[in-house]
This record gives sequence, structure tokens and C-alpha cells, in this order.
Amino acid sequence: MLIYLLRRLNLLVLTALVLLGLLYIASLKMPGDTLTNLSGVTHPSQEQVARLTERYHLDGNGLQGYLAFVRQRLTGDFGLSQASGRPVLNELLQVIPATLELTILALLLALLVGIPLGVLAAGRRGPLPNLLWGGTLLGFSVPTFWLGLLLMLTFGLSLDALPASGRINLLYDVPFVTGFMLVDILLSDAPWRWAALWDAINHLVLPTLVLAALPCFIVIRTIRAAMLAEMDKNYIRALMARGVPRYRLVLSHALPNSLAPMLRLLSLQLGQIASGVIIVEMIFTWPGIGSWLLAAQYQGDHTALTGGVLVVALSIIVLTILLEIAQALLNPVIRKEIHG
Amino acid sequence: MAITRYLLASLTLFWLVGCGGDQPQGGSGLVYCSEGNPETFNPQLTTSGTAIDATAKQLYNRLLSIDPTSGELVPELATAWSVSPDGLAYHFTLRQGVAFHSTDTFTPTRPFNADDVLFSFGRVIDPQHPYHSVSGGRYPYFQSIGLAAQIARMERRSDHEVVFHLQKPNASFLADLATDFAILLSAEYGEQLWQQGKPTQLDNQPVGTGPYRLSRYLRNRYVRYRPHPDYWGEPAPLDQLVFDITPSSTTRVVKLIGGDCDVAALPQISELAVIQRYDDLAVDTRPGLNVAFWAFNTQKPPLDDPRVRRALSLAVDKRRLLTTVYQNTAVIGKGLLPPISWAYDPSLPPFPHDPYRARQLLESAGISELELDVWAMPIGRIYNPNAIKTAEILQQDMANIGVKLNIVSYDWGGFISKLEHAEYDSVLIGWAADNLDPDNFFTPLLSCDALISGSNRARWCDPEFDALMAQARATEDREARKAIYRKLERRLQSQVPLLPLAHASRTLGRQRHWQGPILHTTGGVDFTRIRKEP
Amino acid sequence: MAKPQLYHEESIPSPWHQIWRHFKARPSAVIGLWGLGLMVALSLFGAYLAPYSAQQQFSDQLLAPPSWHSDGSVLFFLGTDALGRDLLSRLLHGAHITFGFAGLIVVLALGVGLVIGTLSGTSQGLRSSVLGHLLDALLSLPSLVLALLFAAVLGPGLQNVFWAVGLALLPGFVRVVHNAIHEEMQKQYVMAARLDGASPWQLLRFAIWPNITDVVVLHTTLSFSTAILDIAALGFLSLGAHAPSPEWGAMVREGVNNVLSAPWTVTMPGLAILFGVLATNLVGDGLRHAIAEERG
Repeated sequence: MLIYLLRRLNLLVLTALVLLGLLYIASLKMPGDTLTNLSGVTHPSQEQVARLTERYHLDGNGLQGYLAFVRQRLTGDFGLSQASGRPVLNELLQVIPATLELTILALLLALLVGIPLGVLAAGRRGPLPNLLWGGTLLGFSVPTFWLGLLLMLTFGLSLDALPASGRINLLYDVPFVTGFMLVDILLSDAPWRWAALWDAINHLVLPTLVLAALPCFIVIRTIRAAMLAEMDKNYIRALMARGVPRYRLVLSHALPNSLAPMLRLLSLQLGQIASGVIIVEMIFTWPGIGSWLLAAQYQGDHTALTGGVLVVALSIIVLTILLEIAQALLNPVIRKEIHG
Repeated sequence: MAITRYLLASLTLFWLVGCGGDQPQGGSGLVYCSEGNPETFNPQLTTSGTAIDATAKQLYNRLLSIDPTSGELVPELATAWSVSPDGLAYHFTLRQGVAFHSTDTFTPTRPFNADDVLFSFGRVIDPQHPYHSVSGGRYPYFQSIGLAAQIARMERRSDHEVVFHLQKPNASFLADLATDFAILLSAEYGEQLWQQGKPTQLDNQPVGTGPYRLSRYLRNRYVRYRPHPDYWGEPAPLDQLVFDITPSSTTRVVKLIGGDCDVAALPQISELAVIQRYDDLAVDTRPGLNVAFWAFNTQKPPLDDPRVRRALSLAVDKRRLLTTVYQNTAVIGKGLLPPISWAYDPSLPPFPHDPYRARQLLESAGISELELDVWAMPIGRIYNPNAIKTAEILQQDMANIGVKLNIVSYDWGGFISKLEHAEYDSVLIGWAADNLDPDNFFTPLLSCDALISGSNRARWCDPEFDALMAQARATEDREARKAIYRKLERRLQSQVPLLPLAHASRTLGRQRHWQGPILHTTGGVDFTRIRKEP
Repeated sequence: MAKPQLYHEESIPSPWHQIWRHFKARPSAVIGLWGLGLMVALSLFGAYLAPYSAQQQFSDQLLAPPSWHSDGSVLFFLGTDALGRDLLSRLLHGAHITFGFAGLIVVLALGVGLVIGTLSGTSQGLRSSVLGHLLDALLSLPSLVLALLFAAVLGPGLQNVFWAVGLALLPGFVRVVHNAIHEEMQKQYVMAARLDGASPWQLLRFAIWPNITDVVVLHTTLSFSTAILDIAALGFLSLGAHAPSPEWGAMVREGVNNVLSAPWTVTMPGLAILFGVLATNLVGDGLRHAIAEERG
């Protein structure tokens, strides 16, 4: 197991270095002054130019520049945002909790809804499995942005039931502590605490639903496929022959064994989910890293852009590896695989 | 649609929510959904409506202001003023006991006095002033009206008396001082920041005397204001005022309907009908003192040739613009002055629409193939709700006469800063007047002075035009002035440094229970007299 | 179906035949195939079928509702947008961007993926591992984030879409080809062929490739639907195709401005995307089933 973990760590480091290399090349190729793109200092003075050139080793060869870049970024210096002049890292720390809050809730919802539906879809009787199957196929085919717009139109406007934009009514001046809105509201001692909580939850509903859609469909499909495969296996047949009730077979044997493939597929789809986050944040003007990245792109803020991309990509890499380790814990066979 | 709606409605069963769109119980105040980030918190430094909206009436006071209903000048921080018989000296008596905002970093030790007036105007007109070049050193409005050249000197008579000595009489001087740009800063705050070596904070962490003080600004998110506890006038009517920065007009309307916005800026015209469908919402409209235009960079060939510019103007079908972009909530621009200006000339003929003659003109100018860039503002403005759409229509109009038009756009901040380098062939932009004086439409837009300040988007400098404008400024008699503006408008029509497109009405959507004048004919939005009706 | 057999003939249908037989048996797959065929035809000939050009503006018909609406007109079957452009014509003109471009990208990614996948699948050790890391780094960048980077470097435009979507799809292809080859290489018939003295090229050409075709085709269909969705999403975020372009995602983006007053400007292009992707997914699903049944 230790060797396995070391190998994964090795993978993480190498991948991160490649990623940083790609970003470094991108930073060099971006229009505008390279020094500004790297450091985020717009219109630097003579003295700043000298200092930054030295810090980023721009006068040296490409490799030195790359190493300096890696050193800066890994020590937490992401440069300044060209648009606001504040450190990119600070801005990132402001927006990341909002994204995490939304994503975690959406993934929980996807699992909560997806697993039972997946089990149901693996059934053999009645129209439900086929309906669910067709439903997921349809779900895979709906563009996320379109789904978001439709929900916004329906619930936000026609039914006037749910707020379709933003994170909370801005009149609630919730102090920033953890950045997680729900937590921050509970931590505050304002008299309007509960009203604010209710308002924040209402604001969460639509973005969470839209974001949860894709992972939910993935979960349903993989659980179903794995369950079907599992239920065909001999040990299940043997248990069935012994008269163990079907629900117990499902709950204590087939389902646990289906979780590993589900994690595997989810980890392969992390990129898609991240794309979904960006789109959802844009449609519902959710103040997270997605809308922040898009704003950086529209405003030509290259330093912020590369910083944000680095964080997004690194979190995907780390999550992928964590999910792989989780799978390994669930299924010892994988540990022996040599590849990678 | 109906089916999807039904399907989605049935989804509600999963989430039984109570009635949405409630007003929050605890946090009280007003949320204004604005269209963009304020570029600065000092209105002296900008002519952008977004920045003015977020600062002028909320954070600051002027010496005097224009009464929105009567159009008369009324006192603000100057309680009285008088003009010497020769029209060269303006004497102001200042209000006493006016307190500046206290912030985390600054606590005022003295009330407002003459030093603050000298500081605020000195910064603008005196190149030797320590603050003059802070934050870029550009004062577009004041530079465009040539304020520095107008004022001979400022004199401090006592703590509460100031005299402005002019070089020559100027009929619009008081109107200029009443604009949203002529705000008063704290000299004490300026000095403190200077000593701390952080002078730019004067413009980013504002201290004024206005009814609200800045509580927090988060870029791309919101600006939060709290009432100024020691305001000299009628106290601010709101516990807090929040500008929710929402660039998409659709989102603003959605938030208005959902109740997250109390007032929404610049709804698209097609959305007005949607807003009116809801009983608890209302639309405010005010004919605007503004003009949208297509400015040609007259310093760049072939646009330096008036024949080419005239040809382009002939090809534009303004009536189509009016129905498509403005949905008939604007009037066609025949000249710079909108119909509600007193100097407007109803007999001015409109620009003709004649693609055939346009082609002939181009041929006579020796141009067979022409490809131009048109820069279009990325966000809706008072005078043009959708410049990109306007550009797309122009693109087609120009294709009719064989001119290829490329649309270029940037994010608003980048757009404004790139405009100053004047690399464009032509730009779709406009002007919202700051005071009722007709000069406000000419000098800032087409004078040689404005070339330096950057608000002359046509890069046009015509001695004849400049002389006429100066003559109009020096004339007191209204009828005589009117005649000069008539001449100016005709010269504009023959030379076409820019093509006026339309004069738009300014609109906003609001929750019906918010009553009070938010929009005025000139200047930014105003939340100082708003009331909530039960 | 059954022909009278006069002579006893042992005809073993090829694997592809078998798959096709299973495929045909699923009505949903056949419907999907027809839909896909229709979309391909539209992206090839849509521009000729369109009643108007994509940019023609009818200034007296702004935001006209679709024809089945009480105020609609048959002249503008799906209605018009805010500039009075016929939505149907725009959709037809846009088909080759959203749909055709997706096809192009997928084919190129397939080609490159096949080469790299084969190289890494047949080699071992360092080379394979370096490739793996490079691809993992790419894989961690979703197409949207890649597009953000490309848009920053190249400026917005369709070329970003090409690179971003292509690069995002590539690792998937490489991985599939790599794994499939890896798996086949360990089978006995390959070993047998190798012992017979087949050169590596012969091994690939005659033994391995034919046996991984089905998996690759399946992955191609899946990638195709991903590509359509990605192109549309990039258009929607204005990172790809831009305003006057009738790319479907960009059309939705333009429609958002009027979504409150004229929802069809958003629903119509959205439905078109949905239709295209659904058809592809139905075909993919059918293929998957057919292959699974064929392989037992």
C-alpha cells in the first residue's frame, strides 16, 4: 500500500510540473507584456521591472524561467490581478468557498438521488428501468447552459418561486468568515439569521439542481450497469438459491461492489463537472471561481486567468488521485496494477 | 415550451418551497442592480455614467446643484452666491457644520471649510497641485470644458467664503459647478494620505460629505453604502444601500422579479413589457438629455475626408435602428441636441438615408474598397442599450454600399482605456449631459480642448467650429445663443465628424413600493429621497 | 428474412455484421441513426435548404414568434431573433459549424489518438510513462478551461474551439486505444502471430487493429456528442464562435438577451443541440449494447 501511495504521489508531482510547464508557455505566448502577464504588475516602474525580471529569471534561459515560475507559484505567489491590483491568491480564497459549497451540495444531491435511482434502474420488472435509462440518455444530451436557462425561466419567472440569480439577497450583510455562506450565516449572531439562512438555501436550489444533473445521470448509469453485472455473478445466484431476500442481496452485496466503478467513472468525468460548474456559475451569477475565471478572461486579466486555471486543474488532479486511492481501498485488485 | 414548463413544474414536488420573492425581514435597505463596476470613486476623474451613478449623489456634495423639477440652481454646500457685475468674480458663502465621513482609516477633525474647496478644484486646475497627477491626472469633463483656462485664480476670503476669478465671462460656469463631476473632497484626508504615501486611496476609499458613506466595495460583486450619521441635510432614508453589480440586463430583470433587486438599472426595452406584467413592479422612464453617435476617427485616412464620412452617414438607416435597438423608446438624432434641450432646433432636417448617393460619394472620393473597424461598447448605456446590436445593423447597412465593417469589442474597463489611445477607425458611443446647458453637448465632444482630455471621440479639431462654440459660451442672451447652436448643428451635418443616431429615454425598473425621484434629467441615479410606501 | 437454403452453406457473419444485426434490433438505435443521418445531411446541405441567408435582417419582423404561435408566420417557421433574422435559416447555416466542426475535430483527434495510443500501447517503460503524465495533465484540464487559455493566447474565435475541444478529447482517445491494445497484446492469438514471425506492423494491421475497432468506434460516437456539447458551450460563453455567427451555442447566447420576451430565441437553438446530441447518444448506446451482445 505504501508503494502504491508513493507512486500516486510521484504521479501528482510529475503531472503538476507538466501542467505548470503548459501554463508557463501559455503565459509567454499571451498578448501583452510578458512580465506583466507573469507578475500582474501593470505599468511597472524601472525598479519594479528589474526586481521582477530577476524574480522570474526572464533574462536567463527558458528552463531557469520555468523553474522560477514554478517556485513562485508553489510558494503561493500567484501574482497580482491586473484588473483589481490585489493578489490573485487572495481573490481565489474569496471565491473558492462559494464554488466548493455549490459543488459539494450538488455532488451530495447527485449521490443521494442517483444511487437509489440507479438501483431501481437495475430492476428487471416494470417500465421504470427503461424509463430511467431513457431519461439518463436524454439527460446526457441536454446542454447544461440550456437546462440552466430553462429552469431559470420556469422557476425564476413563470412560477416566481425561486431566486434565479446570485447567492443571497445582498441586504443580508453576512460577514466573511469561512466563505461558506450557510456556515457563515450560522456563525453570525445577527437577528435576521434564520431569514438569511432560508434566503441562502432558496438561492442554492436552482444552481445545485442544474449542477447535480450530469453527475446524477452518471451515477445512475454506472450503478445500474455495475449492479446488473454483479447480480449475474455466481455468488449472488448461490445466495439467491438459498433464499436470501432480493433487497438484502442488493443492499449488502451488489451495491457496495458497484460503488467502486461509480467512483472510477466520476473521477473520469471530473473535467466535465468542472465545466458544468463554470457554466452554472455564469448563468446563475454565482460568485465562485467559475464566474471569476470568466470575468478574468473577458477583462484580459492574464495573471488571474493562469492562476485560476492552475488551481482548477490542480484540484482536478488531486481529486482524481484521491478518488483512485479510494477505489484502491475499496478494491485491492487495482493496487497491483503496474501502469502509471 | 408548454411541455417543458409542465415537466419542470412537476419537479417542484421534489422541493416544496414556500412562497419565494419575499422581502428579507432583517436586513433592510435597498438593492440597486447596476450595470457595471465603478471605475473610480472620484467623479472628477471620469465621465462614465456607471461611476457617476455609484458616487456623485450618494457619497458627495457639490457647491450647488440643479433642482430636478424646476431646472433652477439650488444651494448645496454653498448657501449663497453672487456674480460680480463684470461677470468675472463668483463669490460663494459656504455652509457651516458640514461633517465628512469617518472611515476605518480616517477620522475628520474639522468640518468642511474653504480649504476643501480650494483642494478639490485646485487638484483639477493646477498642474502643480500635489494631487494633480495622482490616479492618471486626467479630469475628462473639466478638461473638455477647459476649466483650468477659465479660472484665473481662486481666493479664500475666510473659512466660509471663496471667490472664483474667471479669465472671461462664462454663461455656463455655475451650471458646470453644479454637475456631478464638481464634487468636494476633504483636504484633510488628502493630506493624511499624502503623508502616508498612499495618495491613490483618495479615489478608491472615498471620503465625502454626502448622505451615504462607502462601507464595502467588492469588485464584480457589490458596493455597499451605509448612511452618514452626521449628514448636514435631510438624513439618508435607507439603512443601507447596495449596488449589486450585474452586467447582464436579463439577470437584472430576473433579480427584480425575484425580489433580490429593488431597483434595476437599464432594462432592455424588450424587457419593459415583461416587467409590466408583474403588478408589484413598475417602470420609470425619463426622456434623456443624451445622444448616441457613431464617431469617426477624423485623423485616420480615409475618414479624414468629409465625403467618406458623409457617404457612411448616408448609408445608415436610422429608423431601423430605432425600432430594433431602441424599440421606439428614443427619437432619431438629427443633431447633437435632444428635443428637450432649450436650444433644440425643430427645423433642422434629418440626415437623409440614401445608399445610392452614398456609393456615388465614395466613388468621387476615389474609394472602391473600404474596410473599417467599428468599436462597440460591451454593455448597455443610457444612450445606447445595445451597441453590439447597433454595430451589427450598421454592418449590414455598410455592406449595402460595399463597405466592410468589422465589429470590435472589449470588456468595459478595457474598452474605455483602449479608447484613449485612439487606435480605432470609428466607435459607437454617446454622451449623457451633465447639466442643462447646451454647451455640454458641444465643447466636451468636439472641441480641440476635448482632444486632449480624450472625450473627443471623433478626434476632431476645427477652428471654425471651436470659434463658434466659444462665441456661444460667451453669449448670455438665449435667442442669440440658440442661433449659434443652429449654425453649429448645420456645420456638423455637413462635416459629419460624428453621426448622431438617437436620443434615448432613460429607464429603470423598480419594486412598486419604492417611491421617490431616482432618475433626473441630468446626472446619475439618486437614492437620497427615496421612500418605501407600505 | 430466411432464404431457402438449397445447399448447406456454412456462412459465418463477420463481427461487424453481427454487431449491425444487434444494432438493428433496437428501435431506439435505428431512430438515432436516422436522426444522425439527418444531422449530417443538414450540416452538409443545410445552407442550400435555408430559405434566407444567416445574416439577412427583416426589420419589420423583429422577434417574430414561431409559426404555430397565434402571431407567428409560416414565412419564419421558427420565428426570428432580435435583429429580425430567421431562426430556421440560422440554425440550418449553423449546423455545419456546431455539428460539422464537431465531426472534423473528432476525426482529427481520432487519427492522432490512434497513432499516439498505438505507440504508447506497444511500447513500455519510460516513453509510455512520460506520455501518460503529459496526457494526465491535459486530461485534468476540461475543454472549457483549455478554451479559456487558448482564448487568452489566440484571442476569441473558432480556432480556440478547435484546439481546446481537440486537445480535451485527445487523451480519451489515446487512453482507449492504449488500453485496448494493451489488452489485446496479452492475448494468445497475438502471441501466436508473433511467433509466426509477423512484423510489428503486420501484427498491428492484421491482428490488433481489427479487434479494437469496435471499442474505438464506440468511443468516437461518445466523443462526438461531447464535442457538440463543448462547442456549443464555448459559443455560449463567447469563447468560441462569436456574435453574428449562427453557431448554435452562440445563438443561445444572443437569445439570452431576449429570453424574457422571446424565449424561442433560446429554446430553438437549444432544441437543435439537444436533438443532435441525443441522436448521437442513441447511436452510441445502440452500439454499446450491440458490442456487448456480440462479445457475449
